[in-house]
Amino acid sequence: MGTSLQQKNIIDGFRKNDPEILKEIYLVVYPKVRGFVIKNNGDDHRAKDIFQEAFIACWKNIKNDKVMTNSNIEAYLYTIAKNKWTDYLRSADYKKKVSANDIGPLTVVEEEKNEDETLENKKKALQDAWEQLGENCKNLLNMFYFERKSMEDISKVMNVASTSARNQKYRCMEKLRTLSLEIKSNGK
Amino acid sequence: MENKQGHISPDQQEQFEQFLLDQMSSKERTAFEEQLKSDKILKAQFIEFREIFGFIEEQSLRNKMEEFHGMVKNEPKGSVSIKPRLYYFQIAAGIAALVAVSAWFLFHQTPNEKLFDKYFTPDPGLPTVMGTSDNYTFYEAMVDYKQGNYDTAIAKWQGLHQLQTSNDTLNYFLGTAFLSNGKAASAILFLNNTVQNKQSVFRDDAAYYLALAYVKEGKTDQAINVLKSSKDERSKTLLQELTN
Repeated sequence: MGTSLQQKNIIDGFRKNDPEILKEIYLVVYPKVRGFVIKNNGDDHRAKDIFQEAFIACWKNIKNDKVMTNSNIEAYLYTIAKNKWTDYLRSADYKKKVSANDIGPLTVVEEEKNEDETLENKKKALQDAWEQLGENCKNLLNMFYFERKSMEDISKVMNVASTSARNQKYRCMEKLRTLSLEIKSNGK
Repeated sequence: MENKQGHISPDQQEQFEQFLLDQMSSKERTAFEEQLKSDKILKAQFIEFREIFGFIEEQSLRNKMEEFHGMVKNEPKGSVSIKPRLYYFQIAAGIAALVAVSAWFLFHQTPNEKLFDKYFTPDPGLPTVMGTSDNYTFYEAMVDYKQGNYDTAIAKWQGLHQLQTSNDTLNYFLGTAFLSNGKAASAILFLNNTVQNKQSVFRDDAAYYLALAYVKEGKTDQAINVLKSSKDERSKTLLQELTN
């Protein structure tokens, strides 16, 4: 694994949300995770869910400097996904459906800590606020914060002056922030 | 800098962004970190901003993963089921019917329709992972387009087109999507918009597909006129065939 891309490039790519790097890792590791999940009482749908959650966890850990720069990211991502599936198989939710004897001999290598309740509430409020945000705001925020496009490039895409794009970005961000605060304080 | 809790100024927002996007010099970075240590309100605002920043990135990544997932090659299921013999007979009957229908179309096509089929292959679309496309909806529609889900792609692009009627990229792909979906008359409307745009990088390709749309509609003269304005090699070949 990981012969076509240098590990450092992969880590840099994850930090900068490089779409080529993210895509390559996704397409290389997913089939392996899918194979594992299907061999262990899962299906395509579950494989996709578990893999995407693992991908997010891996991406966050890289961004938060929790991963050594020489780590093999494909192996790391595969391990997170495998552990998440193992956790699921051992969870009460799964055991309700299947006898515990059916669970294969899997080893837990890394435990993911659950996010605390406050963080979950904040996230839920942000999620609700995001859904209320207009499509144009979402696109603008995506271009700036995820795709890391410059304001000049964004203004060209939006066909507006750079200052106007900048103001719009500010307003969109403030709207998302205040909406989420409102939702949180209203306990919606 | 005066900080009122609950409000982040545009300048403040930009400072947070520069820090998080690693756009500060080491001197600026140190100064900002010092500021965070001494100003509790600023620190609280920064933590809140960082959370929102991270949330937006995560939302975007989730959308991106859906796009990647569409590129995963279909693999066989974990187990192979044994189909009853009738199943294979049904497939064989289906293939036979398809061959018969294709043969009927082949022998009942007009010369223009035959010419269209000879020259038309859908535009392969833009690479959706290079960051050249402009937003989610556009990306998503491009994935649909590449998968041959033309109706879905058209619906999404039409939504965007209402906001940007003169966008050459949107006009071009709406045109090629309609044409790939067999709707030449609709394709003509959109492709014409791109052909009119002399600056567009899609102009020559749009001219070629517009000519093919005219061919399909039986409007050979209009196809010839459009092809004459294009420098594209494919257009020259098609023009030669139409004028011979």
